[in-house]
Amino acid sequence: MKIGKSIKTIVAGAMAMACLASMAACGPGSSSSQSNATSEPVSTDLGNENIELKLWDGAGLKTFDDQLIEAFQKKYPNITIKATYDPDNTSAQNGPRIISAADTPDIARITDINSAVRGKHLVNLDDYAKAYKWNLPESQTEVYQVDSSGKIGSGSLYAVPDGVSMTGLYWNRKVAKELGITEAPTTVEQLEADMKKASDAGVLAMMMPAKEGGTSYIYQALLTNYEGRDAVQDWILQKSGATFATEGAVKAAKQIKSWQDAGYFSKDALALDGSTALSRFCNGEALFFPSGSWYSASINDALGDDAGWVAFPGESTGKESAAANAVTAFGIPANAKHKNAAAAFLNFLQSEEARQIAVDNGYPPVGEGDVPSTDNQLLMQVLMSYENLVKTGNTTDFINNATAGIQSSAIIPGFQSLLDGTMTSKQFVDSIQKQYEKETK
Amino acid sequence: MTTRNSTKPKRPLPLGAISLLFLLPALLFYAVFELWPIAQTIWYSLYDWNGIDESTFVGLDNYGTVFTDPDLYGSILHSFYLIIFFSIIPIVLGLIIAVLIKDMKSKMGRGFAQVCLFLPRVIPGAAAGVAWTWMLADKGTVNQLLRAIGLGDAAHVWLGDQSTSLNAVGVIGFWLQLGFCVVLLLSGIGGIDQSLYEAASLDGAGWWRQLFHITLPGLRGQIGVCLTMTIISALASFDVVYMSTQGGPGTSTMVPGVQVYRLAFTQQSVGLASALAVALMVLVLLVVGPLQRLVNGKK
Repeated sequence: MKIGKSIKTIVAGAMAMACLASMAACGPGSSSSQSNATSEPVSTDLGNENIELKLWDGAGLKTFDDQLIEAFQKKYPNITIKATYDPDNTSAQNGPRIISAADTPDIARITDINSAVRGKHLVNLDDYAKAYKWNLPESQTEVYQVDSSGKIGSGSLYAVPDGVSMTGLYWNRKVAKELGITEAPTTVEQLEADMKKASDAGVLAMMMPAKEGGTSYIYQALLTNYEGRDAVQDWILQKSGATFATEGAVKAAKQIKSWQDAGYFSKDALALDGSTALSRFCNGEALFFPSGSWYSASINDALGDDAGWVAFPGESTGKESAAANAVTAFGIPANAKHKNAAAAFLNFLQSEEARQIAVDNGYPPVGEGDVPSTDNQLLMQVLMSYENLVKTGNTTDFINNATAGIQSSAIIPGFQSLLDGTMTSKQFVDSIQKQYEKETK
Repeated sequence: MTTRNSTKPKRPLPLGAISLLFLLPALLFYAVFELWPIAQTIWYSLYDWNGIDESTFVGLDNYGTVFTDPDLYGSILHSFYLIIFFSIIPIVLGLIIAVLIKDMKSKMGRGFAQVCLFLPRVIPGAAAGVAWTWMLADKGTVNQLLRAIGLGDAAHVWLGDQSTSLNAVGVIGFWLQLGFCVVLLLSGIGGIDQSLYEAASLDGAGWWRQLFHITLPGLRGQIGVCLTMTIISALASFDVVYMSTQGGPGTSTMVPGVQVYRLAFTQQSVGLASALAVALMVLVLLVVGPLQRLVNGKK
């Protein structure tokens, strides 16, 4: 009894002390971590001194990054880059902490540009852009520009992409041929006709991994068709007045639901994850697979010449669209020790050599120069369609990136509820906008 | 106790103080790694904070959100529903299985049955979540079995349908908890005096009578432990849900564990996540506390 009582007293005391102590202090989190931020004058001259840079990225990009680093080190023998990688499914969670740490890497993947710039964790790259005469197309850097009021979309540059990830429609030429389809669809109408043909013949029309939000790619294409590229991009960039609750968004949702009702997706779409969907498509189990350039190597290996890629069709031919953004957007954290050397790496990312490395790894390159060569025919189709899209400018970022939590808290559950009928198209659209407002306030 | 203390007044330190000295190292760890984080979580829950930058004090606003946002309190309701699968069914079935195993004649058979039933417990919840995702898929083992015995119409995408997903997740939990309950209850049965059963049989008491009048009362302590452990694992479940459904489809299987993780690390609302965690902790204590009293209170 006695022991119990005294322990209780001690515990209660400790709790009270802890509470009091913390209440008395100011709130959690502060800007003290920025105290060791060193400033060095912007320069493109890296001297001869040995410098060791630290780089941080997602583990899935190790091969790509290692090749970039190797080529960069050859160019700058006095600089070595030590890379560390976090698993891809946790890099988004760790990102904000890593770039704000006191011992932050010099070059880091920027996972959430909003909070990174708002918290003043990144170096403004404008002076480097001027010094190196960077010239990237607006569509590739728009989402890494932030103005003085903290709004994304224009203003100073804070990150540089190393390659492009884009969405599009894979199709299986062999399956198509058996159905009497010889050309990829270039309009939504044709796409729907092709899907009907497949479905009538008992072939799965579209591989749809809705467990992890794979529905959003084709949905975003429809949304871009109905609302226009700028409206979609403004919403993603959190421009004031932008809203998801539009007629076009509801119309696109209704269309997706009608495809579900027509049996164009597999019965287990809601429990189907991306990698299972990929392996089934590679197995020849569906006509279309709306996904992204990141699978081009796997699909080319599996299907060879039967693998086809086409940009998401618009309402009429020539109105194709895609969601595209950086494979990794590299920025320089404010606490980085060697900012000039880090900027040299960002400059290197835009060189012909780095563009070739991007293509070798299956990604469309940054910049606007000639398309580097590749012997992967599917990737070649991806590159060509991207080149066209850069010209028309009909690309947006991913709606999944509009806020940090929109994907897991609204897009994934929203599409699942839309497909199984728990939500109407209007409710679905409103649920996305509600989560968006919750996070952007 | 008091009388004994007064007869030996020369003790240099009171018993309580000495005991505390022995407890000190463990208490220190407990304070640093348990109490301090709890206190910190309570502190965070009063702020609007993204985990890195400056925070703003919002008082009890976060708690208001927890109990008014249907997504958040809905996740708490789901976890209570899971108690049926994580606790009640495994304990009831576990009891019956334990008694059956006790009655088994062959020693080998007894050992074999125990190992088989306990095996799931050795597998991490995350791995079980992945394995069951495959088994519950459209063309998975469960549906194959159903189709094989002519029940193809009952086949379902168990985790992909809002009406069945929470129950399907519950089944995974049941599979994980059953072995634990059986083994614990078996060890309890071993401690019951065998002569009681013999006497009861002589008096003509059947299997059910023995179960209710000897086994059950004799297992009171073990059942208490089973209930406590399994209820906590239901209310604080994370791994199984995270690996099998991530809270979907829709929000039909969202539980507070996954929600807290998501709020804190994906949405960067550390304050709100902390408030939900604190609410969950209080709820667990409110459920488990009285339960402890009920089972262990009267001797």
